Amino acid sequence: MRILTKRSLSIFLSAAFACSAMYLSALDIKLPELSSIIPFGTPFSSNAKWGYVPRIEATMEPLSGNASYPASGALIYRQQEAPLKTVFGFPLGEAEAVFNMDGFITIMSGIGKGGHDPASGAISAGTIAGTAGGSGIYQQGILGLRIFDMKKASWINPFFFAGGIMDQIPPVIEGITLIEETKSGSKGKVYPIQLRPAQLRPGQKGSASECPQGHYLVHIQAWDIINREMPNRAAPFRFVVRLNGTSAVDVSMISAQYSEKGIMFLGNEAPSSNALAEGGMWMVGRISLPRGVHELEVELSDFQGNKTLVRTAIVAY
Amino acid sequence: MHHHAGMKRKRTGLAAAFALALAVALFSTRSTGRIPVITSRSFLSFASANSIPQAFLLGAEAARTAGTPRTALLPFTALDRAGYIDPEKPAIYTFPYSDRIAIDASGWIRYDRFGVQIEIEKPGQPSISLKVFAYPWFRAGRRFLLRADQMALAEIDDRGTILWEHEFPMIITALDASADLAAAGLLDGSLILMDRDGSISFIKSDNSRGVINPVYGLALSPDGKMAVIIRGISPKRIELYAANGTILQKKKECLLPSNAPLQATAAFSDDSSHVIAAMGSELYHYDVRSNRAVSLASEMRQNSNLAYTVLGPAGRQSIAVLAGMSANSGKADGGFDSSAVWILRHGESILSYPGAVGFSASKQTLAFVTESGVDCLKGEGL
Repeated sequence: MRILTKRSLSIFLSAAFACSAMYLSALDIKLPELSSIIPFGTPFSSNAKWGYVPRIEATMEPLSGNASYPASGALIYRQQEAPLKTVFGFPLGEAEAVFNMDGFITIMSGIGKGGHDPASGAISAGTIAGTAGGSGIYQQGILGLRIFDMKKASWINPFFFAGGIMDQIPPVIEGITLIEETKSGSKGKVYPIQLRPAQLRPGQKGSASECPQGHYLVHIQAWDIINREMPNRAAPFRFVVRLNGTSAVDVSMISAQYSEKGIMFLGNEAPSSNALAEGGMWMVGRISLPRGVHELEVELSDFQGNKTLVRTAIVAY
Repeated sequence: MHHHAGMKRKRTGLAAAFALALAVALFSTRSTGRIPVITSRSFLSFASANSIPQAFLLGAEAARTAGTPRTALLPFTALDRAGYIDPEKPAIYTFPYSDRIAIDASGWIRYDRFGVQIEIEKPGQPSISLKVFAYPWFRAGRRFLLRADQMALAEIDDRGTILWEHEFPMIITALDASADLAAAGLLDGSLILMDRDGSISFIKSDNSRGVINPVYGLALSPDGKMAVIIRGISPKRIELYAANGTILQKKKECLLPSNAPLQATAAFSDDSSHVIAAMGSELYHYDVRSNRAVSLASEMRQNSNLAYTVLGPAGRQSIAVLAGMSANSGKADGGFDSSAVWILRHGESILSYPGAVGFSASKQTLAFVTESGVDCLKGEGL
């Protein structure tokens, strides 16, 4: 088997990313006009110890106040809000799953009153399923939308299908932490990385971050704001880590893979909690640091390509 | 308050039509079974209910000393209050709740519908706030948390400590639990069994031909040795599995004459002889031995304003079903205009209680929960 060089690996990762984006843009899904959206990957409830995980849905507020089907297909599942408080109701409230012939499933949750006749199985895109929000965990006006790609066995980011949203503010990087990965695969000592620009030249020592040579898990504390009208903290879209000019990590919120153990975000093993530590630290990948001075570059992008770059130096001893 | 009064007026107006509709629905399709003889009946009004007694508040030990073993108390939930019935006295102890509640013999959990305010309350002890994003769900004397994104399940103890947890790759569409087993069905048709320690068995659905077969409902037999799932769209099937720990083997399946893609509720009878399943306005009886599913209430199939919910076993080969009627098409309208609880034995109606909104049962007592109190019935053949 031909071994990829670091340079060709970097090109391969970027090409794979572009192909995924093109594939998704070909799907026949269209979100309604939105007044706000909390994107895929953004953690649920920051106060929760159990349940603090990246979301696989886009939580959105349609401008019309209605829940309209984003794609045509066949209704395959309908969950109803508990009719009385004496009966247990599932948290997604009134939810509907539609199977599209292209092989994806759209799931709307938190649907409110009225709308589509539940006896009818054929769904046309744009048909109103009910008012937006008010059932399950969803506030009035707010809906959940999930998209599952059957062919690729992955949950895909609904943000791709939201037109008309301008993301104008680049993501913010608050911290980078390297966590030692021991031989047994467990987490070892934690090394916070200084974020000031690297001014170190090889051989110099003093202002750089320091850690022993070894294998590290890269954690990045970061968030994004879409624009001034949508000021909630959101997950960044793409994380690229370059070590000494070569791409070492390139992961994104383009999708999350299906596994019997749960959901795999940012290339991490399932469950999805593996991708997220307390305080909004994203586990984005692994790097190896042999003895010496290294330049670490972290580049974060939002959905529309606004970028934030941090470059720093690490001395591995 | 205004909404509540309006709802009551609507209820009165629809009550007669509703009672007739339910009678047509059930009695026209099945002959009525042996009518039980009620030997004692006590209506315990909420207006004259006691608060939780001190003996109860002091905990199990004190309650036993006071001659009221807590296991004899029957928990119940009404629309705006919950509590316990002491069928022996008889007496009722209640407390109000505002949003949602789950209650069992050890205490209760109040929670809000957003899944963020979750308070464990145990009689005689300070409440515990759980930092979770979930809905509590109680079954078979066990407590679970269903994560608010409907993608994970955890079992907790009575202090809220997580005993085990599992995240699933698809949304959970069906749940049930017995004393030693818990089961989850997923939208993609997968079935997951978890034993008491949380050890898992994952049975993936065959979606290779591009057809998805969601699990719409499931029921575990009380001894945990059988599981029934309702799966597939067209055709829809009832599948019977035999369980040995978390090892499952499909034994039988039969077609269900329904194409409704609705989430189902289902329960085994206490003797595991049959299952009652409900999907919206459709109600089915599945006989385990003959592997036959029969539609009940077929006359009402066209009436999408009628909805059935299977509440659970009601002792003596019976299962309780909540039937509700709403004036609108029932989409997240927040309730019924009128409701009733039916006790079905092998699919035949043996007792009905118009106006009931809930139900609780012990071996000797059937308790129908209404808006104003709890009616406790004892008798022969119940």
